[in-house]
Amino acid sequence: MLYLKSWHESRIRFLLSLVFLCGISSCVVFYFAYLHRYDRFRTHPSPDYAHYIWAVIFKGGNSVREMFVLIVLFLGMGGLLRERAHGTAAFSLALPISRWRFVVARGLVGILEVSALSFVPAVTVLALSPAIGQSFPPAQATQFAILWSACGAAFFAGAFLCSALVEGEYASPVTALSALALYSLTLSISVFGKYPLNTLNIHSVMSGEGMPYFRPETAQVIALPWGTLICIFGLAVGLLALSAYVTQRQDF
Amino acid sequence: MLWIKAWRETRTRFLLIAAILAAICAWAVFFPQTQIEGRHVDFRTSVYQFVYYGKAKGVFGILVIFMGTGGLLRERSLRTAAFTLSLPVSRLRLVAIPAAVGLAELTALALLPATLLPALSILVGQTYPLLEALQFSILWFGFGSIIFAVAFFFSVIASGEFVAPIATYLILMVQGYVGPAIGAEFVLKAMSGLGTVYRGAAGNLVPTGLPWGSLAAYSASALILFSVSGFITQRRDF
Repeated sequence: MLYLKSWHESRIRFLLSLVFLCGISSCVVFYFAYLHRYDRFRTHPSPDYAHYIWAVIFKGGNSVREMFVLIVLFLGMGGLLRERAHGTAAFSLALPISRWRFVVARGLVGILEVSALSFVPAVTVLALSPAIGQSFPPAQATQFAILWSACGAAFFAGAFLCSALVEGEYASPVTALSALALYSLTLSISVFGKYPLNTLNIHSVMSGEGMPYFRPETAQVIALPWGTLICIFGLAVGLLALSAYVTQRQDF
Repeated sequence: MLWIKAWRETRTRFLLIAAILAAICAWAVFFPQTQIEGRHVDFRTSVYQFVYYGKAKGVFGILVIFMGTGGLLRERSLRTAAFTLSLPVSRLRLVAIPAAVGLAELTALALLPATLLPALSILVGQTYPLLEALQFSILWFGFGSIIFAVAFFFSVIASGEFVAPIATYLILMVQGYVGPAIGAEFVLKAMSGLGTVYRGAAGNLVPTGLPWGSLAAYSASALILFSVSGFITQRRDF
């Protein structure tokens, strides 16, 4: 029942995000056909399809990836603090289940939604590429989707923690976005470049940019960095556990 | 009293946004980049790239959306609308005052980098021209007001908690694709002064004048959205 409750609470956001990601990825694919046909590329020689898809969807800097990260932050919103503001927390808390289970159910449903969304651009590109006479390697699309799933889970868990900590109308998404900006800012300090911590730059792990497992000449992931992905997923689980701990100690 | 109510409802968001903008400005001044895309850049260009072209502008553009959210529909969901509606003031004032407070907060946020950058630059033995910073503040306020107005409008027509911010964000992204095709500037791009600044011989970015036509058009659109929001609220049954 808790899983159903979590799904009902987030399904509109999830479905809107799904439609949006699908729509924007379709536009990206068809825009390539337009650029290719009328030779409107800004760079000469014009990029090949794999480079174009990587740059516009998977890389970063006004790309679909950044939109995905923002969407994931919205999926992390909700929880008992919000229910308290709506006056419905008492009903949820009266159920004969522990607060841990509340948090776990919402977290699990959220992570599943994030995983589903992370496959949307990849599947859209795979499905629509033949329509414009192009092809994108299914293995590449799957690898990027897996990278997005693990990293998206970490961003989701960060937003989830914000929603457990910060009360107030829209204060929680603003905090999550501010935290994301601060995180990106911290990563831009060049001193971190010397340490292995730099491999946990979640933005770079998602896009593959500057990573040893990514080959920029062909815009392809050579092999998935399973160790890094497990670390990032562990971070997500840690953040969710922290949210559960905070929720357990809160007075509603 | 309505002014205080509007301020109290938005102050957490406002202060959070101000804090993050201040942090980014401080970062830009204390950790200036010397190379961008393999090209040597001076302090002024580095600050521009970081604040007015890059991170601070993006954060401002996205977070301004949350300044416009709230209103009577949200209050209805929280079951406090009846208290607000029982106050002896017209509905037009209930809409106009939060809009005015929001615009005042927007002004403060737009002016924040213009205050911080020249002041902090002195601490590191550099200078950032106040006049140039103020010109970007005008751009941030002018183009930010339309983002704020769209979010405000959606919070008047849609009661869902996240509908207004998500719808505004989607419109902003779509405007980025459709706007330039129909001759309208992409709001987030126009905020960075693209088209109004040029790279000088020394690599500096020198403002050549503000796009008053675009600013007036977007401000007028914002005003129309506020008026429509007031009209809808007046006719709605709570």
